[in-house]
Amino acid sequence: MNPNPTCPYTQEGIEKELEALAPLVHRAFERASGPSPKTLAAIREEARRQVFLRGRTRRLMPLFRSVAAAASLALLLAGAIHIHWIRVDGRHARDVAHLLNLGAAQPTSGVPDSSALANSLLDVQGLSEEAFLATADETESLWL
Amino acid sequence: MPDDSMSDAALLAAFVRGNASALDDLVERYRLALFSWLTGMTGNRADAEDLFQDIWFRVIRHAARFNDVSFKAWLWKIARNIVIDFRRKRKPDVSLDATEDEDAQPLVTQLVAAGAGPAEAVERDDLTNRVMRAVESLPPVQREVFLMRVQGNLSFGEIAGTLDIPLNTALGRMHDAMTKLKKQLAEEI
Repeated sequence: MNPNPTCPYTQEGIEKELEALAPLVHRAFERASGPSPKTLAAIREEARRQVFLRGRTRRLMPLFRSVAAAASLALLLAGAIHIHWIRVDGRHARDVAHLLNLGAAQPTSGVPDSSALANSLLDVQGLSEEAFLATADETESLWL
Repeated sequence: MPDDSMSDAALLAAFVRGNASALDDLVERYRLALFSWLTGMTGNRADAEDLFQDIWFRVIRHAARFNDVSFKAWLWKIARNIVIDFRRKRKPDVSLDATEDEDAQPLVTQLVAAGAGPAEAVERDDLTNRVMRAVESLPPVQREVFLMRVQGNLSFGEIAGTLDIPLNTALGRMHDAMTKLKKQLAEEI
């Protein structure tokens, strides 16, 4: 199949032409014969070294995970304790402050209430609210 | 002895699980194909040896990350990246005859010298010489595709995926490479 109609060659055509050429190239390259035993031994050694390293990592991984989990738990616990201490300290400080405030003089304790003051003034002038609302009968009964 | 019943991906997975000999089987499967591709790309047997080792070291270290469809394409992608790095460190384009050391023998001589016996070597010298020189004369992009297909036995789809080029570009490079080779090896074909 030719993927491009404008292309002057096809994959099949190339493969067919290659059938004659490939054996010659194979024969020429046969002399290269392959890498030396030393190179192959180095690759084998590296493969075994990597397998050993991976195996060791795989064996130690559960231990690493356990240690990491324990460390995370310890950190969480320490954080929770720390927050608890901060809260307890804050509550204690508020209690102390409250106690200190109880002993302090109230700035408004000596000042008379404004409504009481107004009533006093009305009393002085004989215009007390209670007297104004009292009926004549009530006054008489008091005389009796 | 390689286990032919297992796929490449299964062998790699077995290696990742801790079976070191599974990787030996994978190396054995691609030993000749990858090495001859590297020899063709570097033009030097010693460099091909070093790169072959580097490629498999990288495969070993990154085996757990393999998630491609084809191991072969993944292997050649790694191989190609390593060859590119190698070229950057050396010259932009290294000829098959080019060697850094003037006393060193070119690849053609190295390959001929690696033959079995003198009589056989004499018989094969001429053909090996001509084929190697013809492959050597190809531009690197064409040589790369040609050797991937012929020596690496990658499909054109795998080559296009490995090189990150359209299928037609891979076919075009192969076509051009073969046209040049056929001209030079007309008597042999």
